[in-house]
Amino acid sequence: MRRADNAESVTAHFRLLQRLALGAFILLVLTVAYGMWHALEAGLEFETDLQALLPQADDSQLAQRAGQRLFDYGGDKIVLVIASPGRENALAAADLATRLLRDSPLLQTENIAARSEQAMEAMERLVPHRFHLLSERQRQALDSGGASSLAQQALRDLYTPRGWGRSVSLQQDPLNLLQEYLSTLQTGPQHAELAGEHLLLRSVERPEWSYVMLAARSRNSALDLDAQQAVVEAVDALEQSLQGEYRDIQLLRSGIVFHAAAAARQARSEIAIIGSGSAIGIILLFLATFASLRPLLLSLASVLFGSLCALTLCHYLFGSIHLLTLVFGASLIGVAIDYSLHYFTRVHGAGNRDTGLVSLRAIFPGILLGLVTSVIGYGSLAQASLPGLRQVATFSVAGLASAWLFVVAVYPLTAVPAPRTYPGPLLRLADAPWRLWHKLSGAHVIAVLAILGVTSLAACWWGLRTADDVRSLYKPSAQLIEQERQIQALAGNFSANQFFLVSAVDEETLLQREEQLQHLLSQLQARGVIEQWNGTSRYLPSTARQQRDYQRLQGVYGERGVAWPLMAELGVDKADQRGLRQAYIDSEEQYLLPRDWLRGAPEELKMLWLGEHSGHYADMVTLAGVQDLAELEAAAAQIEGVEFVDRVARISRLLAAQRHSASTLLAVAYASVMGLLLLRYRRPRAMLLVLAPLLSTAISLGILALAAVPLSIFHIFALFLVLGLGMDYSIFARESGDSDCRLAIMLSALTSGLSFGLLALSSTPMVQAFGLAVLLGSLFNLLLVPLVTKLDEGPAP
Amino acid sequence: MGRLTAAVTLFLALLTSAAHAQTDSGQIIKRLQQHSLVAGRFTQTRELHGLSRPITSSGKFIFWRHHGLYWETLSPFYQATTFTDDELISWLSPRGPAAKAAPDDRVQRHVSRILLALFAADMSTIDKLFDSRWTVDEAGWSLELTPANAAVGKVIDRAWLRGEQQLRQLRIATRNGDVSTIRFEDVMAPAALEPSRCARFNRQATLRCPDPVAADQ
Repeated sequence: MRRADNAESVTAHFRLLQRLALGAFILLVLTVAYGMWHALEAGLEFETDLQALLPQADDSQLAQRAGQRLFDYGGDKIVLVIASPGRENALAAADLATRLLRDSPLLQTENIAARSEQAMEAMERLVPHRFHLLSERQRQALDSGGASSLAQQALRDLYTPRGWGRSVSLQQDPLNLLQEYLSTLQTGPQHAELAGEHLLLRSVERPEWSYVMLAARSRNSALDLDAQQAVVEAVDALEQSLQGEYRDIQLLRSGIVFHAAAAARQARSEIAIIGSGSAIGIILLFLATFASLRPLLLSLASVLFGSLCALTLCHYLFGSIHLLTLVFGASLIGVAIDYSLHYFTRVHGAGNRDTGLVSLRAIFPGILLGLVTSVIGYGSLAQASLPGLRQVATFSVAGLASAWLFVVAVYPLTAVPAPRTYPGPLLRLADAPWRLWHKLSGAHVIAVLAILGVTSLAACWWGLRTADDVRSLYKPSAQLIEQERQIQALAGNFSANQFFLVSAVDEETLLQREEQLQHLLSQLQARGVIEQWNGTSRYLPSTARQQRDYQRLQGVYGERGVAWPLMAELGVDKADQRGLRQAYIDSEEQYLLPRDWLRGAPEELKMLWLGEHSGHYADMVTLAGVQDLAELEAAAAQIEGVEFVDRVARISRLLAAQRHSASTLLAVAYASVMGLLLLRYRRPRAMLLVLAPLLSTAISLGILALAAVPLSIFHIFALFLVLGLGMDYSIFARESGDSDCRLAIMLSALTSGLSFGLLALSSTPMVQAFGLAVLLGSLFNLLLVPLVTKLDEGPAP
Repeated sequence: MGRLTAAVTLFLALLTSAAHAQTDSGQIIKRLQQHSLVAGRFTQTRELHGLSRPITSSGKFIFWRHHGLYWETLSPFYQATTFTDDELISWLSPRGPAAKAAPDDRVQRHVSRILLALFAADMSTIDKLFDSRWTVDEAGWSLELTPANAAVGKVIDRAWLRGEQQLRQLRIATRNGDVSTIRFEDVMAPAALEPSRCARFNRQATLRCPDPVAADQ
């Protein structure tokens, strides 16, 4: 292939092409510089929330709004619980913590005492509506003619300290009915005590311990990376000062920020490990091969340029860039460096006396075809609806293409070094895959390929399982999970992942439907399927129910109602009795309506009401301590307009759907690449080149099956990369199977193996899955390429 | 110069009297906290807002430190209640079983806790809820409590306690305008608790009832 006499053979055509590439490169540099300058001026936005990588969970707009509402309400919220075996110790530590938090520029403390006061005020606003509000027990008592027993109880309570807590006067509510109704509205921790301004909790697990709950919000955006880190550090520092000051203090934490910060910290340290790991490996390889720093510096420049372009484009397109995109982006080094390797192994090659341009000309068809197949491979990822992988696809395609352009535009301008003889061990290593299959004849090759294929498929069929549960993709630290579990057990927080959505065309129907749901939920609560539930209809009964309760109260406030003899017996003024009677009559139509309720409702209750949207009213019913999802699904199915939203399950279902569609896209990608090969080589047999990535994909899957690693969507996406890499190797082997080329392939396999091998060590399951699959795939690519090229009538090895 | 001496003297006098009050209230608290079991009779008078005549009841009480307060109204009718940190148990007859549990009511529980803290002279709890003012003189002592935070202020306006060796009177003005006064008589510190009384604290039969031997320490 190589021509000794070179100057003439470089066509004017290619020179022109290279000049065009240079022009495009300069234009790109200017654009990226401008874009970067612009982005830096506004501030680069880095995202760390893993949820942002996942698809928007819900197909229904309503559920999305509800999810957003819950995130807005709870996204920047953190709950801290100070735990100690001594009550006084815990309270003293809580005093210090409150003081320290109040001075913190990062966190805004929520005064829990003030919040419970606000809730009490909201309840007080219900006093004028007391003729329309009853507890379930009172309802049953009145329906079964028990009005006089209620009056008896009220009378007895007056004689004991039990009656001290009444909030409405005897003249307004002689039977003290409202108090019981209000007590049924209380949610939250069961064993709570307000000690000063602190909320003191007790746990069933450790009854001798005292827990003080503190709530705070981040003053900065919940998505601000540095703010998240700062909040976590502030909380760690708080724990240290508490433990320094008091004995036996534990600080439990709960909040999205802790997850996001932990994920970010992990991603950051992994970037550092993967980045430095592959950098060290690559530096050593280059020095051993070229004994010069220049190829290394140029290669790094090409990769850096590609990354910069990718970063600028992604930031421009998506408004921010996710740290995990950068993690995957770091792995690009292994692929974009292929082009440099092919150029330098040729330019530095022992017998080379060509100019840079001629050398580039020689490898150009290979690297162009390599780029196109990779772009097709990665580009298919862009069709995925997982936003995170679209970002990765964009990043990798843009990065690869820019790095490629850098090679084509800049390398021929650099000086050509003196020819060099590569170290023997390296050449032998590069030759090893070829020597491995050297003796096989064509028929044997087919037999080996067939055996490998069939065995792998059998292994897949026998043991390949899938895992789409989103929880298997993100593993928070055990410590964080345990702390959150304890806080959940203590405080019974409502879940943001599972809730009911109730909707109807008007408010009244909505509330009536929610009341039907209430009925089912009380039964589920009694059976321990859920611990608590909360919804607007708890505080705001439907008008129909208010009407019925008003009628029930005829037995109390009607002409022969039990209130009058009771009041007479106690010696209440006749005028007061008449006043109460009149108030009852006058209020008949004064129903508590949504707008009245919303005016004074505390924030955490107001949030539940989603209000009107395109002719539909909706409300959320939140749940705490969910034990059985199927029962809740079943409950929702019984009532019209009620939907059970399980965001975790939805995301998992979506991931499964994505895995299916990605598998299909992978087949499409293979078909496109085969078409491309046919176009390029104009021989059907050339299409067999896809056998290298195809078979290594099958073998990798077989190994995953045998190792009982369940297949997730991230393995599938990795297989796209296996396609890209495998095609690169096959095409170069096909274009020029000489020893320089083999060396380049080996170097490429080593560099990409290095970076992906490190990804497989990641503790983020999705990154690990990706890395493992690529590592296996590229290993088998390397081993199979010589075998597959034998099938085609390429140049003899 | 004379003025300065007078000021210093006055200041010292104030200082010593404050210290005096401090030690006095400290002693009173100690005395009140001395016994783990206190029993006696009570008369409760409630002046309810808007009622022309007060409601009076009387009966017996037993306070058992760390376990609760048993309040047995005997007149004008029988009704007994055990107040503990976590629950309120009603008894409808002197020997019968507990009545059906009342629905969980946080306001009521709050009131129970305050009541228990007052009986226990548990100042660390009281000081978190109230600003306290002690008056000590020859006749005895009194303590006036005003709510220190809004949540308590929502229920209680003010409370007064009076006593000598023992607590003699407890008076609570609640926010709704009611004033309840409880007078205590024949207050003693028994060493043991009858099994039938003990059972009233001991619904799950998990406690060890104080017997004369164990209490004799």
